[in-house]
Amino acid sequence: MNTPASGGACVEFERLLALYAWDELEPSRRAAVEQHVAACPGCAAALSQENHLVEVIAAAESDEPSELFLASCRQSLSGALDHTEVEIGWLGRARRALGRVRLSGWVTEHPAWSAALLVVMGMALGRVAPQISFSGALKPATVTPAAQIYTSGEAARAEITGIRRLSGNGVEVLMTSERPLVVQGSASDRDVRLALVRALRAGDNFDPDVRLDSVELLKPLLEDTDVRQALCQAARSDLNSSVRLKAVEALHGFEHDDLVRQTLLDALQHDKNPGVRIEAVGALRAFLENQSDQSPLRDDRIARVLADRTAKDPNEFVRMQSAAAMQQIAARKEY
Amino acid sequence: MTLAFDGSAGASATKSLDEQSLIRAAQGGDRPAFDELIHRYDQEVLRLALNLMRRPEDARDLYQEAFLKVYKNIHLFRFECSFYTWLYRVVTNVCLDHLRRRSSRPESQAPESGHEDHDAAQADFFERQAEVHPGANPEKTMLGKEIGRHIAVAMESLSARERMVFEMKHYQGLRLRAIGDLLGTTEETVKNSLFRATRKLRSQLEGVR
Repeated sequence: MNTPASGGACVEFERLLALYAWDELEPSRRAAVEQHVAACPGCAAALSQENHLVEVIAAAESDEPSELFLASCRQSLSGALDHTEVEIGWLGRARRALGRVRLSGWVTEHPAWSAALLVVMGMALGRVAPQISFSGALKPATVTPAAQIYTSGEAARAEITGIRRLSGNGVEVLMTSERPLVVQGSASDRDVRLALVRALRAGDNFDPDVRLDSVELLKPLLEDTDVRQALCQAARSDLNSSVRLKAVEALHGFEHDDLVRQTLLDALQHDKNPGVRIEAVGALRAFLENQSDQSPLRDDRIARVLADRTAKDPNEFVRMQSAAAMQQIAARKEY
Repeated sequence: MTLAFDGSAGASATKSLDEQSLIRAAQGGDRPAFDELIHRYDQEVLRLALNLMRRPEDARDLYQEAFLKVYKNIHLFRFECSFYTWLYRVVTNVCLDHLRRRSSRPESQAPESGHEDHDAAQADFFERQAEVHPGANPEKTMLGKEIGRHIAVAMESLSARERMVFEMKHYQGLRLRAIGDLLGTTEETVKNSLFRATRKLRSQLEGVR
């Protein structure tokens, strides 16, 4: 025996009627509802109401975003993503890339291959380990005085394979030519500096991590012309956008130098990566802000590039920052 | 000095990649690939956001928050379900958060009708308009808008989850099983939500045509 609900439908069928109207019942239940409704006037009336509700709702206009609104949302999102990219930085990106590799999962799924791989790795390590120099506990037997390496020209041919930070300001540059080489010292030592500058100048020949470490270690040495030129070259032409970004960041504070300033302007005008352009315009704004002499600028290229970016840069944040820098320049003229 | 800046050929090359390649490229930090990937779905997401939030500025916030979350977490996508399902799980979670936050601020619940600020009303109207097709029936369109306004008011009586279910069923045209999958719940729970939603809407919409 079915019980009528307050609206006239049987309690057992009230929910089924709504789902029937929304076409969300499987065939067997659908047939049961139809059979019941044919014999129950209360449920027939309730189903009619449910159908009417569905019809009313179907007649409603949904809010469709216009093309213009979609484009505007996409543009705002693009600016926000640029900020996020800068915040995440190269280290975060590397972590994210590594995060995709689930070694433990692979080992569980392939136990036999994992065991074989471990055996091969063990054998390889046994052969290679005696040739590797370890800093710290082990005697640095393979460390060669850098002056001798450079004198012999061996370092100029060597491949730079890694940079290792030591305690204090120490650094080891690991190289391989005919034999493994290690140049040890602080970044300001001539020979270490030469190796780091070479890593930057060789561009894509060495690992991007080596180039990123080189930028970081050379950053305090901007007074040195060779260092400045190497960083400018990296900021302009390194193939890796993280290296370019870090190099632009490293040049910050040296904008009074003509080469540095032109490099920043080139990066702002031509670099395809919005993060690099944001960093470049930020450096130029800081330069305009911090100059003690607020008379009109002698370098009129700054205003030209900023005007161009204000009008044309695809990134909203770069356009805003460029416009703000233009205002800074205008204020100087009034001054 | 020769200048060499990268990325010139990248944008056009990524266009021909299939979705899986686009996802893998985006996971590796390729922005053009990520942009192309989300442009396949973002119009639907924005429509959902606009229908849920009613205010364009809220819809824009929701859209942005959802896709930033997708960007930050795309490396966690493991191809264990379709990208659409994964994306919508992220989006629906953000939507539910927004709706719950909004329900705790009663002053911001009223839909955008009877605007005091005429300019804002004009801008909102402009932003919400779909393309007007030459064959469209203006009378039917007006009636649809009128009913839409009634429904918008009635929707305020629904809970965040009921509203999500209703929007995804009606405006996105999804089956309840798929909605359950996206919301991380069972089909039965979703059926209950839809039933409660229709009961509330029916009482609110009595007398409409």
